[in-house]
Amino acid sequence: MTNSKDKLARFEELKINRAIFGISELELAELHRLSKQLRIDDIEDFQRVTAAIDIKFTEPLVEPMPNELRGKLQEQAANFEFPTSNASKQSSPKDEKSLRYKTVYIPWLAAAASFILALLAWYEPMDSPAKSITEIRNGFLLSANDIISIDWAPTEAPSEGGTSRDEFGDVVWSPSLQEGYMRFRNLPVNDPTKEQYQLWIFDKNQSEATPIDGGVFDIVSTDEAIIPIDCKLVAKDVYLFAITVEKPGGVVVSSRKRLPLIAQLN
Amino acid sequence: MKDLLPRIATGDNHAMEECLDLYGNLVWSLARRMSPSADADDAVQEIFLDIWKNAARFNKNVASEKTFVMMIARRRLIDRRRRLGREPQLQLLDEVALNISKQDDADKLELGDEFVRATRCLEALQKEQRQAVELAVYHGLTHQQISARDDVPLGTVKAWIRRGMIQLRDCMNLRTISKGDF
Repeated sequence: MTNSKDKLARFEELKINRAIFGISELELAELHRLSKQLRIDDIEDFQRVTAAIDIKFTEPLVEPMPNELRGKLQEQAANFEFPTSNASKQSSPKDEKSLRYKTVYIPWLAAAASFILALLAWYEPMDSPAKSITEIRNGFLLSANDIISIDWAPTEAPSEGGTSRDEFGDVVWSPSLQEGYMRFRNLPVNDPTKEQYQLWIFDKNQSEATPIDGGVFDIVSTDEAIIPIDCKLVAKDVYLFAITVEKPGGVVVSSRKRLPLIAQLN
Repeated sequence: MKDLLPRIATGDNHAMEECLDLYGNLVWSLARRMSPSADADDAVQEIFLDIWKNAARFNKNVASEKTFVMMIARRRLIDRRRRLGREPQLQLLDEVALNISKQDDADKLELGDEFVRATRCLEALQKEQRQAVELAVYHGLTHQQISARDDVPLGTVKAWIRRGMIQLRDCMNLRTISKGDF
């Protein structure tokens, strides 16, 4: 993403997808990052659009809530514990000056603060954006019920990068969420100006000659690295993941000459 | 009923019951559409807890209470759908449902400005854009499902939805907020 126009397009895409389909934790973090970079604070505009048009769709077909459910909700409402409110605290001014200060100025300050907080609340995310890639992956593992998990295995193919049996990691993928993460350890660091790693996803609905591009990525350390999968097409029946080494930016069709790792579903 | 959410934010239990009376059926109907029936009960309970917890965030200068409630409900239901890995079934769609936006809404004007604006702005979209937005927002179909259903390229579907949504936002003139506003 090189310029503001591209960033803005991606920002809009993420907001629209969030409002209609939902987005992953990783995409949510990207959305907040772009919001800061573009200095656009409102990330919920399309959610308000979909809410308003869904009222239009739903209102004509509204049906009564079952009495049993209404009863449960009424009970929950009666027992709902609100966060402690400053409004309930009592104060006892010690002198006339402080009384005047409190009666004259504090209401204005409180009103101003409430107004600012109310405005902030509309774009303050209800879900925390400040998550590490590890936390995001862990959340993903808990969120989907159709995750496949496969260990990486080095191939027999010769490699300038020097594949070895020490390489370790796995790949996790959810067909329903179309989301997944690769984990690597001891994969050789690449020089992104000369070459990049590229993921290929082999799906039963796709010819073996043209696997799905899963995105290019760099390894900057031999410590554990977690890389999100950037699947360019829908992959519902995956049977193999493969890592190749390609020119910077990746390729459309790989020669598969340098194929350090594969992960095959048994 | 005015200023219900601010009353809830101050801990008014009576306002919570009024909120149930006012929006309960709408939220229930939405949950029934976006969840399997066995899950709708739990979903509605989660939604109302979210509404009560987030009532203090409501700002009437940005949107109506109904839109705020619907926004929270949709977000919660989309999260649940993603979490449970569900997709709507194509065979459940029918042309009657697809034409829902063509209903005569003249008698619904009293429902409020946003409803009227939503209706008019949807009608102003190109037919393909409107249909793609309806399939995605109302029926919950993915880009891929719409592409397969209408036999059009995936990129075309994405463009219809993207342009349609941007046109809807601009047409509905929903206030955009920024830190520079205050």
